[in-house]
Amino acid sequence: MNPQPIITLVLAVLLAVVLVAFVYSQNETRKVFASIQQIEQEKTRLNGEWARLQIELSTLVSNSRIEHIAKSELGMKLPEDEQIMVIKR
Amino acid sequence: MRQSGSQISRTQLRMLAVMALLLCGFSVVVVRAFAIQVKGKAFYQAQGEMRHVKEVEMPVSRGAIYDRNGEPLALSTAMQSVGVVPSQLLDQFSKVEQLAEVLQLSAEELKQIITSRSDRQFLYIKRRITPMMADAVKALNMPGVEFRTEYKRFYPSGEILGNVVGFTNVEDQGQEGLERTYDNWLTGVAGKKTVVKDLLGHAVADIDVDEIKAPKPGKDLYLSIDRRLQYAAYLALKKVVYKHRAKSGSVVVLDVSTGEVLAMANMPSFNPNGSKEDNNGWRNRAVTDIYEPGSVMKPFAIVAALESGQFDRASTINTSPGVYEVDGFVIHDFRDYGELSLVDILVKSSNIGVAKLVLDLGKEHLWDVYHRFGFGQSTGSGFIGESAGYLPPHNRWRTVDHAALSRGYNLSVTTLQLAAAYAVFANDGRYRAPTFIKNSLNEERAIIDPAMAASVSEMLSHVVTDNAGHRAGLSNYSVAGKTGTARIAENGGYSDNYMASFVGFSPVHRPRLVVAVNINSPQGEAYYGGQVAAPLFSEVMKTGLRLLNVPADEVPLTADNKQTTEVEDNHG
Repeated sequence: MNPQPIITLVLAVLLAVVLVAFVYSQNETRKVFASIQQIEQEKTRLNGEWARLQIELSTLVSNSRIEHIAKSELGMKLPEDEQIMVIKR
Repeated sequence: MRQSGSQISRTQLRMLAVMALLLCGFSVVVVRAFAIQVKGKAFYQAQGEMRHVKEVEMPVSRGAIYDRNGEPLALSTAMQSVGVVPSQLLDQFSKVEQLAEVLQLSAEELKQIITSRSDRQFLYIKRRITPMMADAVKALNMPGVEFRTEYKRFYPSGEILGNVVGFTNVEDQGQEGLERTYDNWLTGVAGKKTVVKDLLGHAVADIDVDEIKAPKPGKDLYLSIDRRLQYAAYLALKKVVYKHRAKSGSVVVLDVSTGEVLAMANMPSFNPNGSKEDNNGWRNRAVTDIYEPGSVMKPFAIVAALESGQFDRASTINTSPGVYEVDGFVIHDFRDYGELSLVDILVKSSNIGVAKLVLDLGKEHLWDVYHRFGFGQSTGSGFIGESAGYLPPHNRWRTVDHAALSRGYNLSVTTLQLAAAYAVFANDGRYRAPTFIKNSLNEERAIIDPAMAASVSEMLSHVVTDNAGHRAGLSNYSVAGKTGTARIAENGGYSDNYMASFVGFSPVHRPRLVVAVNINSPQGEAYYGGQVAAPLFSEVMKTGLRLLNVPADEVPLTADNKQTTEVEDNHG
């Protein structure tokens, strides 16, 4: 028996498998890449939202707003000098 | 046979003809293929890549600026900027009109720009638009319209810190203030990578992975400023400037031991979030503007007198009759104070007393003392645009200048320099350059004897305690400081405008804060440092000590307090 045709056949099948695997991996790469892109976009969006929230927070805790609420809504005021008592230890 | 033979040859001839034709056709294909694949390879490959391979930039944000407690003072948020590829819009003017409407631009101008710059690859037409506007533009679904991410800077504190923090220009580069001073630190480096795009323009793969330049976002900056104290200082300053109709004013609050700038407020100011047309408020006057300080310089003249060994605390100077002539120039006191001790020279702010003191000393010594306290030199804070002030060299002083320098004329200083110099008295005689950055302290160096510093501090505390009802005084805390009221030089002479100032620190024995205040040209009846600047000093100092939880050192013990002490003792 001549082994030549069998080897050829095996190599041909192997080649086919390798080619399919290559295409498959290429496809996988693109899919993973696409999801990276998506995640990065999400990250950018969340960063933007974080910055917006920080700005919103700093507006809400701005000294003038707190002072206004404390004075007009809650009726608070700074203690007068005579109202301050220092406890010596 | 002949017939059949000719038949065959005819068939053969036809075959040959067809074959030749096919060969011709094939050779054309081969030649063309050769031309494209071998000769034109570079050109076609480049063209193909141009359509599918693109270098994209990865934008980065500028670092944020926070105060010492992590409160944001400047933040960057991602915004969309709209641009066009002019060549793609030349024949789409009806769409351009729609675009102009959405972006609230003039359609005519937009068309004109597109036509006149049709050779450009990309052209910004409106930068940093609102997310709502961006959605509206996207809905138009126009080819040739592209978005780029850019960052917009927000300043939550607005005008309160406007001229200290500064602002950035449209290219996101620092243009004024600390934004400019620390531009390199805050600026990031945009990344770059090459990607393959599909027909719809979505990136599908990175190529040249090794060539990817990772984006480096800008670093955050933590300032030494305390936003709460800054707010209080700015508001108090604004009130005083309006009340006295002053031209401008500044307040500086320093932490004595670290040299950190806890607050720095200036009037006029501006809102960095708004339009920047009026640049009158841009300057951080506390570091850029110089003026003749007046009597707040007297403590330094006293240092020179004490260092010389010719005078001590008990020395007295005769200031009668309240008028004193030096080389034809007459120095006045408020009234005839008679014999004054060194402490009383400060308490009464006697021009004659301090002039007589320094005229007995060498010019070089007085110059050396002023120089050591940092006058005539930049403080070393690093703030861009900081002024060094001016201290004339002693070999150019005439006797008149010598006397003038002792009461704070003929030299010019910044408010920050005064604050840093007074901090020396409060910091056991060591000078530390102020810093705007949290935990980034400058080296300190001893410039006067600690005992001298303590002695001058104690003398300065008399300025407040010995002048009954001094408006720089605080209840429960001891205060040391000095007023200044200097005529402002204008057009080669002294005008009727005054610079009212007060510089001081508290508590006297373990000082925590130095506050320097100056009010430029108050227009009302009141213009003395003690009337205009001292109350502002007192208010800012009071808030500062409260915010820093500094224990009161001068509490009048009431019956209640004594009782409390006893209760404590019983439990102890």
